[in-house]
Amino acid sequence: MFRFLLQRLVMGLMTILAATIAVTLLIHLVPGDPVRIMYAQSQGTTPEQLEEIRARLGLDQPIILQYVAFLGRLAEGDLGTTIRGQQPVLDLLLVRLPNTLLLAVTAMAVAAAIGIPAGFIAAYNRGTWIDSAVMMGAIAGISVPHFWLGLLLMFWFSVSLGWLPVAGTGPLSLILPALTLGLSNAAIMARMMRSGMIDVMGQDFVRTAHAKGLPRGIVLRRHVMLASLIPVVTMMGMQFAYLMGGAIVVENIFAWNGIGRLAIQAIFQRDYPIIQGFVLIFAATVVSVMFVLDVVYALLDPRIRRG
Amino acid sequence: MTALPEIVDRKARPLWLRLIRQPGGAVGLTLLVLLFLTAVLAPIIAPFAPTKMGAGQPLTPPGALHLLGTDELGRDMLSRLIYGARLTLWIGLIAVGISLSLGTAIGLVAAYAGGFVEKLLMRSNDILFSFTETLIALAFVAVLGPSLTNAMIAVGVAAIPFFARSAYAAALGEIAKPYLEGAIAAGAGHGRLVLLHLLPNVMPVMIVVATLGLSNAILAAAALGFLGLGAQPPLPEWGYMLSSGRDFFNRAPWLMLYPGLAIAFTVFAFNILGDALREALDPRSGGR
Amino acid sequence: MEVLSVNGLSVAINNRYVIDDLSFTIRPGETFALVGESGSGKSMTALALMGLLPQGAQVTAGQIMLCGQDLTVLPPRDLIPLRGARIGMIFQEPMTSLNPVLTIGRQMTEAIEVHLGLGRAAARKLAADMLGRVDLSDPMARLGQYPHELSGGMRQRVMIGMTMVLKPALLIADEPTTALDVTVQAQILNLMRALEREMVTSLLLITHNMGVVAEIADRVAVMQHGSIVESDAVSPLFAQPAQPYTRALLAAVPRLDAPLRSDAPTSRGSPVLELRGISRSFGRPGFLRRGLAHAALTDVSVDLHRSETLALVGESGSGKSTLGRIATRLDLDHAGQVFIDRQDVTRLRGRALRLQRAKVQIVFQDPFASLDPRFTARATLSEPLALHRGLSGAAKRAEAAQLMERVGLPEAMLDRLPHELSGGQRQRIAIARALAANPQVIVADEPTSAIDVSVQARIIELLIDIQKDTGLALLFVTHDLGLVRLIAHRVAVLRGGRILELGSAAQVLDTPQHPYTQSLLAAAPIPDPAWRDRPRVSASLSGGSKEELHGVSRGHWVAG
Repeated sequence: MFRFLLQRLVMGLMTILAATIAVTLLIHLVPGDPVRIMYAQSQGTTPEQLEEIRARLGLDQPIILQYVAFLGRLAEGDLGTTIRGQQPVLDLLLVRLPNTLLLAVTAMAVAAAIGIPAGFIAAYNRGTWIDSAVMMGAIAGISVPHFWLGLLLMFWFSVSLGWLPVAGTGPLSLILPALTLGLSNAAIMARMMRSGMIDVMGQDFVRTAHAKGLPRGIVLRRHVMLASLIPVVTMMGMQFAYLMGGAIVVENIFAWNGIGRLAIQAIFQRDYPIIQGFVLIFAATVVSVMFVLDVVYALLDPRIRRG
Repeated sequence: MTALPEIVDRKARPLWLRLIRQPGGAVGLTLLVLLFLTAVLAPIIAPFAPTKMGAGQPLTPPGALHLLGTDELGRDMLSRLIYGARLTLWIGLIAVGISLSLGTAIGLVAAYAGGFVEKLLMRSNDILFSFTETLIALAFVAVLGPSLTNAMIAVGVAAIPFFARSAYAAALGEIAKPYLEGAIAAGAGHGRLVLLHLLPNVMPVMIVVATLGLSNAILAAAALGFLGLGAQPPLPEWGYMLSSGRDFFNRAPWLMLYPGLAIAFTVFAFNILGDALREALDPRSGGR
Repeated sequence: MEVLSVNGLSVAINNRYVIDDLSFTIRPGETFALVGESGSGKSMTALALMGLLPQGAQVTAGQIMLCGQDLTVLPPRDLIPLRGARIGMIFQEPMTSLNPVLTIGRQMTEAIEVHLGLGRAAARKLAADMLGRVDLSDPMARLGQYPHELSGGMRQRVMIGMTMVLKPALLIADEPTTALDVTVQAQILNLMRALEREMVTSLLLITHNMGVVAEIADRVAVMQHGSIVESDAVSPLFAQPAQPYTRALLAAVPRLDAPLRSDAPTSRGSPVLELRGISRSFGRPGFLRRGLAHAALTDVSVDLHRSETLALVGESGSGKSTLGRIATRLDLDHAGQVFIDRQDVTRLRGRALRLQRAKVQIVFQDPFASLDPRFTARATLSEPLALHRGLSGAAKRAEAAQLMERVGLPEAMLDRLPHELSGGQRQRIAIARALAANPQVIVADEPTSAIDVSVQARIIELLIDIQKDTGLALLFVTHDLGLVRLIAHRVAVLRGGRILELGSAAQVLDTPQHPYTQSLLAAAPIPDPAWRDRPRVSASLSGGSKEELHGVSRGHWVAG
């Protein structure tokens, strides 16, 4: 088991490392002069000031040195400062990160609460109208753009009915964004749950369980469910990453104060330090959560636990 | 051994027939053909030019003259949606074209080459996977600047890890079978093995992946458009139309509803077609 | 009263009959064998008896009387308490038949708790007892283990224990030993015989292997196309089969007392293939990787001459297939040297290697997977014809037609795809592909294991024929000792990557010197019930095979 976890840990660290490299290269992939683009909107910047900024950001150094310097600053927790207000990027992101995590985790809970039972019901009643109905619903669910769904929900519940706030970051404001993300993902989870369960139900050991004369309920609970649990954990990992991505858009719609919203603003303002910081924090978050899920997976599967 | 023995396998029916027999296949295919025709025949069937401001009074509700109403600048919604179909299909096809070609190449090469190359490619792929498609697409657009072309490339590149992984898994499955070694014994070199043996046998899976990938690409492109990072105005891109319709929801809900419906239906069509394709290519009928 | 009485049973899947008017009875304590090839309906019969027919299949007529109770009229809910308790079943694949995430103990106690109403502690005790009965060491520890921690043979013992602990009136065993090595097979069969006698359970054995039938059956029924063709007590059936199909089945089974090849290879001369000091190991240990390296082959050397068949015999893991692949140059990552036609080809790569490939060709075990599913037979044959012999156009077409004729297939079949051909036909195409390169050596890796018994013999005949005609040398890899008798001039016995015995077929098979060879021969099922109670050499299967080969007599080498 430890070998497995060590492997996953190394992969995770390498991912974060790759993120740092990508982030350093990001600025240099910009067509044109990044510094000038960054400050394009603030009129009074003289060429000398631009040079000074360029030097401060270390952009006139060779790339390797820049990278090393970047790593050095990173080790001290310094992700640079924003273009506008000269605020430390790391602080800006860290303040908002919990909001995004809250949103993602809540959405995942919603998605799982709807998707897993739905997929289970579909698989259990495979071939009947129940199965078709659930699957149709799931396909419809994944076809509806989540940003559209979000807007519709907002207009209905907030504007028309006035039950929930339109924007903001309080607990009531969590409901709509989480619901938006969660519903879209529930459809995906339902489909994956269904195909996973059908796989498991077709396995030989389930046939053996039936042959032993175990009641259907026990076969289902003890054999099918338990064996399905493991792929579900893997699925959750992927879904979390997906949800984090979706949160970026949803945060925008509902003005939910998370890192996604900050990132979009930064993109429009060409505030590259924030964008760099965002990419890094995002990748690190995804990697960390997936590692936690890897640990759960390793504990659940005796083939890995006992090697 | 004199008379020609019967053909043993009854599953020799051509793919098209098997596809149509699935309800999803028939519906999906029909919808897509309609969509395709709409896009191709746009200049003919659209009543107005999509960027013509003042074609009608601004914010006219759907009616006889403007079947789907007009937007805040007086442009005809129906025409914009029809031309939007063109854009959408175009984006989808280019993006998937990028993902399919590069992703399949990476996956096949990784599976075939094995050893260090395989590990390098697939681990890098896993790393990119962790970044999530949304992040990659955003990063791309952030760096290159918002535009239609950049959105297409961004969405295409962002989906490469998924295509590469699918191609890799499918290729591994084929490599485990001895027919490749049979070809090696028959004198085939690397090129022949990969292009004539491996690729054709991996294509069915990749076609399904591509179809579902199209639905994904369209959603992703629409999301970028919604954020204002994709096709720029006045191009009638559905995502952008949805976003600009947001401000007028109270007075003119159709501005936001129709583009959303258009996206949903298109993605829906690709999804059920993809599902039906998957069923048709992997017949699990007849038990085990 | 009979334990089982099946009357006029018919089962259809989507309006196609898979079981057609089937009738047979099984008496208490009897072992009844249901024999047939793939597609005969025998497995489906077992599932019908258990009430576990797949979706889409249904019983259309007939009765299944289990101890006087008609199972076909019972609602599914009432069948559940009977399953396991009165009628049990074990399946072919022990690897996948057990739930990987539950302990052995849990999987055993759950049936006990449900059917016998015992509490957990009592159930565990009973389970441990049973595990001891099936000859598993340290039963209490086993209860806490998971399936992946046991070998295939041990898992099958667990399966047997799991079903027998409920003392069912009838146990159905569907190909219980097919996936196991032959030495383990013998042990499992003995175990089943012993248990069945002890607990007075009837056994319905489903198999395609006539040898297994001869070992333990009391009565036999032969199935074909969903119905019984012939049925009799085991000795009369084997001695005097009445039906042509039965006779064909029996005749096709290679026997250990069959005559050896009488023809000597036409020329001795210099060897056409030489393998010297071949060593191959898999899985280099490294950081973050699986620990142990596995030595598949250690210092193996063999020669092969024109017109000669050398059989590489061994069980799974012996390294025989690996050796065959190294000879064909499909595996290049090994130590030692390979000479083809006296030329050292070990270091050759790229173009130079491709030129040599033509000389050593291969026929694989799985006829379906060894042909590209998208290539017609013509395309499959065209590849070597174009690449190795530089043919094209009319010359290529003519040669392809000739090859088809040589392997006994009509030319019109050239335009068929693999899924439009039967297993035997595909294997013939595979042989034609190998011949297309005009090779001097063909490595045949278990070429008949995946084909029906009735067709196997013809493929073997074809190979022998071609050998006599063209002076082809054959490296025949197999685990089936009966087959070896039919085809081999010389035999090499491998175990754990080493050669334990090497000599002429007569020497190794009639006068085996190494204990392992002796135990292999003793364990192989003999399709003749008269030999059922022959003494078995107790397999002292431990004993390091680290000894050198030394000569016992002319051309006969033994390790030790």
